[in-house]
Amino acid sequence: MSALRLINETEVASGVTTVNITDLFSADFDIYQIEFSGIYQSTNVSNGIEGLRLINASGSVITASEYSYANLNMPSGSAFAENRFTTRDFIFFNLYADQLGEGNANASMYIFNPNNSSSYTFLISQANGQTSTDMYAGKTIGVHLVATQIKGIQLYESTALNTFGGGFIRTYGLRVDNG
Amino acid sequence: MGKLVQVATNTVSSPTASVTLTGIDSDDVYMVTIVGASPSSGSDEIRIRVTKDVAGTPTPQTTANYDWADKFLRASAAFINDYNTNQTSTRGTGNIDNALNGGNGIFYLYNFNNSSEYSFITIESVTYGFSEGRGYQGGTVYTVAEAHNGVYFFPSTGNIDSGTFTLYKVV
Repeated sequence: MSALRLINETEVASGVTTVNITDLFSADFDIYQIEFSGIYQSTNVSNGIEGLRLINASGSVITASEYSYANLNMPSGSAFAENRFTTRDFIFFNLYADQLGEGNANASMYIFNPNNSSSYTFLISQANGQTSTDMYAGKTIGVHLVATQIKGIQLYESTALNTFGGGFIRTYGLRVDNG
Repeated sequence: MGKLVQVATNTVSSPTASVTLTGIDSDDVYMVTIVGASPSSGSDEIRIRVTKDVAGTPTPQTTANYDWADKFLRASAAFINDYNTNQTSTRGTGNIDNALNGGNGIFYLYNFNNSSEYSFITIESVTYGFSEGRGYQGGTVYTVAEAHNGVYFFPSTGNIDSGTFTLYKVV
């Protein structure tokens, strides 16, 4: 059996701007791999999706400015950009999308120690997406700056008109067996 | 998606000078993970050396043959093109605040079992140190054509106080 275990598959619903995945993290794993694939917009809009928020042990989405990140945004048609925030209310991880057929967002992310209440939660992400005008690749590191137990994630878009059209989010736990 | 088979793991529960993971004995790609690592002092880095079997003992290689190049991502300052050649060890994680158990990373290992090739490692790490999130994204090479059976992690000073270090084979 592979040490990489599929623990959740969520289809992104059409017409929403947030996707919450709860009860995702547990004591069974310390590292998670999350694959965001084929996420597109429901309308004709070139959109940089805001990104990721975390869900605490009470089931509440953490909306406070408790996130820090560094992102290298690499468009195919313009200069690269460094996005740096020591505190923000989400983590941008370079998801760019458009309506179906014009572009979609994809990313491979690792999340470290979310279930550990005495540790910050950390992430690494590599993304590649497309809009009708450009392709955007990106590298991101992020930290949730509070030592608390994290149980889930939210895919977050702030603009009410920029609803998602579809896509998938698959989460794998990376198992460690001692002895 | 490939299958990952665990080869070795070490969870640090008391201060130790280093962590060694061995068991590379095939030409497959291998992956190493670090989660929750913390140095004993200040905001040290965790560095890497490759290990070679010497008379039955996995021995970290200390010759000045490590080259690296990475993008050093920082949350509060401009990113840095971080590179060097002919060093006696190489990048692992960035600086880790020793109170936060915040050293994490994913490393892929290539050509370690091949005695005719150099050994390569890709680097992706994230830490919290010096009051900011930090990460390395890049790669490193040990420019000696010989077989290596594992990796050796050590802090830039002092001990490693915590963390789980695991070696997987990608099959």
